[in-house]
Amino acid sequence: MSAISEAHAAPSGPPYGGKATTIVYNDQIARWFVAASVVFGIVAMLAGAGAALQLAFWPANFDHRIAFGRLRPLHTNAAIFAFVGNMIFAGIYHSTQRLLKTRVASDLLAKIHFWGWQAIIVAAAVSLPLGYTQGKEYAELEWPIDIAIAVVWVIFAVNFFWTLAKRNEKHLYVALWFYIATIVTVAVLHIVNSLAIPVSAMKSYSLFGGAQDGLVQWWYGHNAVAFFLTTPVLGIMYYYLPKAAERPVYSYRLSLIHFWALIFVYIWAGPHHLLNTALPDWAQTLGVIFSIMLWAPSWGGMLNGLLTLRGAWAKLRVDPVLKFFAAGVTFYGMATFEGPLLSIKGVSSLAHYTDWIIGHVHGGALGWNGFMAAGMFYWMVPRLYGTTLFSKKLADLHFYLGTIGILLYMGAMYVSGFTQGLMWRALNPDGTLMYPTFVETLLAVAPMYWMRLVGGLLYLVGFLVMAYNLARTARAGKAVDGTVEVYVVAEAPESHWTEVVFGRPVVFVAFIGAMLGSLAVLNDLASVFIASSAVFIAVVGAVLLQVSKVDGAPSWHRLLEGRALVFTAFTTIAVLVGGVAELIPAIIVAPAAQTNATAQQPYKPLELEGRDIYVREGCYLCHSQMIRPFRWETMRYGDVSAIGDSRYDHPFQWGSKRTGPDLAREGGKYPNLWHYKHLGDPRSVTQGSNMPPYAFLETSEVDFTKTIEKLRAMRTIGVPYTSEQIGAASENARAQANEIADDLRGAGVAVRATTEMVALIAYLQRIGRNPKPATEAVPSVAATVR
Amino acid sequence: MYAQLFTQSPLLVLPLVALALFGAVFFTVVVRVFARRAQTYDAAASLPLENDEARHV
Repeated sequence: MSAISEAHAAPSGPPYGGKATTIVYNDQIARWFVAASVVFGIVAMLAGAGAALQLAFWPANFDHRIAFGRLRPLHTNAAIFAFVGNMIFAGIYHSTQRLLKTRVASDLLAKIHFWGWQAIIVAAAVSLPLGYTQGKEYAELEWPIDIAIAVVWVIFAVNFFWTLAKRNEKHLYVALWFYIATIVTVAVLHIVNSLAIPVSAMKSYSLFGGAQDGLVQWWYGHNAVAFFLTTPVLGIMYYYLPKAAERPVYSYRLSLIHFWALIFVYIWAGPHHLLNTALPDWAQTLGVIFSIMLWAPSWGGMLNGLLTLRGAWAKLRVDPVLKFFAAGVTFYGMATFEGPLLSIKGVSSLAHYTDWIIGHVHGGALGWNGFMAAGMFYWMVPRLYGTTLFSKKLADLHFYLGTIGILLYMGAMYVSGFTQGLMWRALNPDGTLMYPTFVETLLAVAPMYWMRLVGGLLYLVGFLVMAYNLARTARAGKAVDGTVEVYVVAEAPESHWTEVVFGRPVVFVAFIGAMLGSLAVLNDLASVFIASSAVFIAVVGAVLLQVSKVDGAPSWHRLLEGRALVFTAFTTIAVLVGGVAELIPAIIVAPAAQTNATAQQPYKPLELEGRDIYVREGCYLCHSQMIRPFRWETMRYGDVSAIGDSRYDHPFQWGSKRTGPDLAREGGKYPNLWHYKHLGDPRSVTQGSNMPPYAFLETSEVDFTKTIEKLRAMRTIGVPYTSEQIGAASENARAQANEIADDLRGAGVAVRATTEMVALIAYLQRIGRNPKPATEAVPSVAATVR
Repeated sequence: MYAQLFTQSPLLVLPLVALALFGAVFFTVVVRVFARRAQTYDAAASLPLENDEARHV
């Protein structure tokens, strides 16, 4: 590795005999990613506005390919991976080259990364409306696209670490640490959560089932927020905020603690998405504890960002870049205050499944990600085109439209969420439910759904103003690439890697950690002795480390910052510790807890086909399948869900939102005719429902030739189908379909037994109960509304 | 309570060990970082501010 001399900023001559070299940055790649982010940001917000309209006005579900259940994943994937994804890539390529004083290692790999990522986005935009989904939130894309994501991500990683290896600046600035954590962790999350067994070219089943799938999915889902929407944007904050404020970050020391604490703690917090569910208590408790611990590093980082503006607050009035950054960081503070709050079990019991969570998420997405993106674009684009911003007034207009839009959006969702949570649990003095029909709670919040749409549209208009402003800026200038003159000297690394890996702080920490870890296997008396000794050694050791330092010698962490590979290895360990310690026990321990007498038995072939339709249509986005241990839930939905109820569910369908009622005990509640009518026209049996109609299922056919392959795939991942059951799958499916079709015919409805409508009814009648003796029929009472 | 937890699996010691490890790392990092003067980090903190926006058309 070569190193740049300290004198490069004021090149009065090369010290140490260094050679002057001019570096030309590859800024074209940043320009491309900015443009892609702006375009896909508009697409994502249009999809979001469409989904918001569908919730307020059901006729907007005019085509089943873009009905809410398929449009919502398109919106979330576009917002996360297309809008924010392209934005962080723009920031990473632009800032990394400058922080390392070197051009990106390979222009070709950067191009492949860009076009590969856009191809994945297009594949998502085509496949999701066509109903190809794995049924896991924010990880819906089917297995071939998952593989493409992994390949493109590896290409990005190779190029990034190759650039690190050829850097001319020895020191790794804090922004780069966050980029490293992002690259490593997203790869791990994506690969583990996407493990699946393919059935066909665009169909697969998650390797994990039931509670394990829930834990893996939300370990992924939560950390997609953490390591895709947060850590890279924090890196961007640490680079562009000081740039825009023209002063260094408030506290570099705080950034050090912010980084290590954040990446270690964040990875554990996933189970807070599954509080009060059938997930084992120990895993829920871990989620609560680490979520509350997250308050500290999150706010440490937020304050570090805001306080960087100390002495520069006056600039906020005139500089749109700082305006967006200050507001973005403030929204980050609000969202990261609210996140741990929502992770307290009592608060979660009220907020979970309600619109409160939607409000929380959009505070982060629109406020933090959207405003940080805008600030970065307004700073970067004029410089990428060698000009000034076309209009500061338009940027100000964007800021106010966006801010008002967010406040309307969040206000609507908070009111809606509180209302839903309180109405669901409200009891009469005699102990009965005050609002026994679910749709009452939906009608109560209907005005808030319109208000949310208005807020979202205002934000979208602001974003369009930004797109116009940036386009005019680019047209007024000319694409230019930044350069820097560096004095490259052949300098040996500051330290040998062994000095870092086996440095005194590492050995010290390992020793204390081993002592504390031994507490778990020692008896009470020995534990007290070891714990006391550990505390004593920790205090004395810390003092000794401090006293023994040599004046002027670089600190251990400073040496670490000069060793990119070791730094990456330590980051990986910090991230993996949480994942391994949480997931491995869950995957190994949970199955034992699922083998009670009432645990779920495998689905019949037709029920499995129906379940695939349920997943395809995104029913889980509005209907949970998890009855929590609260009186108001058991009164409304039935017995509390147990861990064994969903052990063969690949993927799990516990859900995260209740726009409609929970379906965990839906089986047998209503006759087949009710389901037929409800699916064809939900309002025919539930006045006021906003559910999309699924009448098209009556004309679409199930391909029973593939049923055998589906059962075979399920057996591969642990569902105990016998060879006989698999061999007779198609016949058995048709036989069960004929039974349901006959039952409907008896009620005066002629429907073909081979249709998807019949398969879905079979699944709905099965949820939450095991097969009953053939003589026990579903209830014939005419249930109308609930 | 702990005995009851571990009867499910001895692997449940893993989260406790990891938490202890984090505590040790965190404690050490805080002590080490704040034992140094803030000025020690000035050069590193100024890295983004260096003038590297010369133009190349």
